Parts: sequence; structure tokens; C-alpha cells
Amino acid sequence: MTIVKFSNVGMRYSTGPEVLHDLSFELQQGSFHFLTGPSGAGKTSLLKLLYLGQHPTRGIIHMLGRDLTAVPRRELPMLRRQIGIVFQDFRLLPHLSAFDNVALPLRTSGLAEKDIKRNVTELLEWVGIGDKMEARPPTLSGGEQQRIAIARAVINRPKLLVADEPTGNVDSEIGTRIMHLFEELNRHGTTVLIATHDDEIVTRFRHPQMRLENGTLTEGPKRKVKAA
Amino acid sequence: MAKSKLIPGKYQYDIGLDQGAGAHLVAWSTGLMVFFATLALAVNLGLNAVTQSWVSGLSGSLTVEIKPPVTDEQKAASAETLKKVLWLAKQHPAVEKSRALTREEILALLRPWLGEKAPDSLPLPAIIDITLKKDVDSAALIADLNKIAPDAAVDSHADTLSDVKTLVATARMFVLLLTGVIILLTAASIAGIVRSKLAIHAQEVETLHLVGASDEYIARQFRHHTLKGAMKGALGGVVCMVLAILGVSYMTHTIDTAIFPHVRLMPLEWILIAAAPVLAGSLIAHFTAQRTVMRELSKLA
Repeated sequence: MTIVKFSNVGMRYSTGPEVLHDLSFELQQGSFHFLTGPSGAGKTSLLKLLYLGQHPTRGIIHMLGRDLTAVPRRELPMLRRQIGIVFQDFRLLPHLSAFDNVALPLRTSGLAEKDIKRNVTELLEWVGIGDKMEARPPTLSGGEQQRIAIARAVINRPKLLVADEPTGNVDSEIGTRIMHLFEELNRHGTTVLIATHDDEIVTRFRHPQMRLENGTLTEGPKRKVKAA
Repeated sequence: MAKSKLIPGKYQYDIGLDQGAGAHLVAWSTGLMVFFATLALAVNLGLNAVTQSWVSGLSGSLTVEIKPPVTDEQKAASAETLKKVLWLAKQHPAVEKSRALTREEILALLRPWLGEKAPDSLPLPAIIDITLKKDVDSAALIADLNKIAPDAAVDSHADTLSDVKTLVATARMFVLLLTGVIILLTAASIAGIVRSKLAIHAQEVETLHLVGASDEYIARQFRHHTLKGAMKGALGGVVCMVLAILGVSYMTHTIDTAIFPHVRLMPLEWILIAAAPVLAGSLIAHFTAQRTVMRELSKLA
């Protein structure tokens, strides 16, 4: 089953130059890819399209079986709840505790508080933050914040997980644990795409790469698109 | 929005709406507006009571004035006319009671113009104060008075009443207009505060959207925060206004009731003064926040 399908997708910010050109590819359910490329190649922009944070300026995106051009605004939250995101800058809400940050996707889905407590506690203990559940993000280290961001992204068991440099601020042991968590999720059917500069991770966890250079896909699961 | 794990029963916002310098802007803004709205309402009720007092005082009476006699002949005629008027008033079915004002009372009325020491030789008019029975037409009585005392002036206070009514109606219209402006200003200021809060917390709002929060989920937090602030502010505004009313009432209790009738509000009117602005302020805040947030969020991706 195809989770993501891009057909001739291009994107620009406002009236600026196009940052992504003619991207056409598919991600199948249960696939695991690294997204690599030099800084400024468009990795973060591609991730924004994948987590529905931006609209393409041209082309068609099918996501989780829906043509995004035909999805009304009120249905976007339902789609977003099936996508887990790890932001490069974490995007944790500073006045909420670690527990409440991780609980957010469950609360927006309307899950009962007792189920939220059980799931969040279990996951925070797994990522090694069990003793800091009531701590607020500004009081935690970069690595701890990153683990909370990862826990928030996977708490909903998403169908698609996109992560921007998820191992960038953690030591190699935690980095390895995080990668194992992603692989565990992947084994349960989650499609994973990780943008990274970490060559060691890419070499060690032998998953296929999608490489972006100057906004164009130069390596990866391309698909041929017939000219209109 | 969820109940905090730390403080049971207390709502915790996902967005930091109750933190930072502008956290209490809604309360201050609504408090100020409710203070003025309550003032307008109190003035309106007060004007209503004053009008009723003046109108009931004037509309149930007639004043007959017999010209001041100068010569002895006129004095006799004037005394005769006074007798006739008093006799008619006593017999007439429309009259509750009547009496002629004493010389001292007439001099007291003229004191602002003549001063304390009016000469004894000063000819004074005879003045008869007639109190009418309730809900009677005074036209027949006026016609009868004009017949028996054609030279006397009969004043039914119709002109004064008309002027008072026009003046009070104009004042009440102005107060109503002022209340409308206050309501519009309240809504506009709350919409402005909500828009600034959306701008301040734009990244948190975007993050909530991206983790799957619906517009309604986000709007609920703004709505709850705005309503809570508005209710706090409105209660503060009403308390200040009630204290101000009591203060004004205390300071004016010595003023002559003929000039400034003492307004006694009924318990229901006190409840109206206390509850209506709080309720209206809170409802305006609630719906303005909801509408503003939903409109602004619909512009986002």
C-alpha cells in the first residue's frame, strides 16, 4: 500500500524561488528511508510537505490514500494524527511538562485521561525521561528535549513518521536506542523517513536513501510520471 | 485543553495564554467596559425613577394663580375669586384636596428674586394648590375654573411636563447610544487582544495543528481563557460601580428631594445592575473570542 505519492511536486515560499522541483516518488507502507543531502538542499521543505505544514505550489500529493488537493481543511487534523513529526528544533511547548507535551497528540484525539497516563508514562520511561515527567522543557538538556519530541511523535503509533535530525543532539547510545525505537515502529508497519546529516547512522542502519540536491531528488524511490 | 495533573480541578492551557505580561488584558479591558456599562445602566434606571417622580408630582396637580390686587376694589375682588375657586375645588369630583398657600409660603417661593426682606406692602398673588384624584381628566375642572375666575391663571404644568419628558427621553437615548458604543468597544478590544495573543503564540498554535489539533480544540482554549478573564474583570467592574453608586447616593442624600428626587432602586433593579453587565460582558467576550479565533485560524495552512 502506498502511503505517500508525489507527482511532479514543486514548492516555493511566498514569491521566492522554487526550493523543490518536480519531485515524483512513492513511499510504501512499512518502508524506511533516510533523507540525505547537503544543507539548503530542501530536506526540511520536503518534510514540511510530508507533515502537511505547507502546500505544494504545483503537482499532486497523495497521502495515506487521500489526494491532498481534495481534502477539506476540517479533515486535516484526522490526517495529521496519523503522521508523527520530530522537528529539528523540537517545538516543545515550554510551559507544559514533559508528560503533557507527550500527551498532546492523544489529548487532541480525545483519548481518556487514564489511557493517556498509562501510555505516556510507559513511553517516557522507555526513552529514559521517567524521572523527569513533571519537568518543563527549558529546564532539560537538548538531548532530553529531543527524546520528549520523539516520544510525542511516536505516542500515537503513526502510519508515517518524519524526523528532522532526530539524533542530532544526543549521544551515540541514546541515538542508537532512538533508531531502534524507529525500527521497532517500522516493523509494526509505520513508514519512516529520517532526514539526517549523520553518516554513521546511515551506514550503520542500512536503510535506503533519498538524496536531495538543489531541490531535486537525485537518488531514491523515484517513480516515472507520464507527461500530460 | 486538559485538567492539570499537578492541580486537580484546575484547567491547564496547552498554549501559554495565562502567562506573560498580557495575560490579564481581557480582565482589565472587560472590567473597564463593564464599569461604564453599569454606570450607563444605573443612570438609565435613575433617570427613569427621577422622571416618574417629577411626572407624578406635576401631573397630579393644578396651580391657580389670582393676580395680585393693588387697589382696595381689586383686593375685594381677589378675595371673592379666591373663595369661589376654593368652593369649586371642594365640590368638584376631580379634586382630591385643595388649599391656598399662606403669605409666608408665597414669600418663600419669591425669596430667590426678592431676598429675605420683602416689604409688607408688597401685593402678592393668591395661589391655590389643587391635588387631583388619580387618573382623572383635568380638562373639565380647568374649564369650570376659567368660567368662575376668568382672570386667574390655571397652570396644569403641561408645558413643564412636556419639557421634562423631552429632556429625559433625550438623555436616555444618549445613554442607550453610549451603551451601544461601550458594547462595540468591548467586542473590538477583545477581538484585538485575541488577535495579538494568536500572533504571540503563533508557533504554539502551529505545533498544536501539526500534532492533530482541530481549530475547535484551539479555539476552545482561547474561549475558556477569554471567558474566565472577562468574568473576573466584569465582577470587578460591577463591584467598583456599586461602590461608586453607594458613594454618590451617600453624598447626595442631603439634597432637596424637590430638586433631585432620591432614587430608591428595587431589589430586582439592583440584581439587574449587578448581573446584566457581567452576563453581557462575558457573553460578548466568549462569542467574540470564538469568532475571532476561528476566522484567524481558517486563514492558516
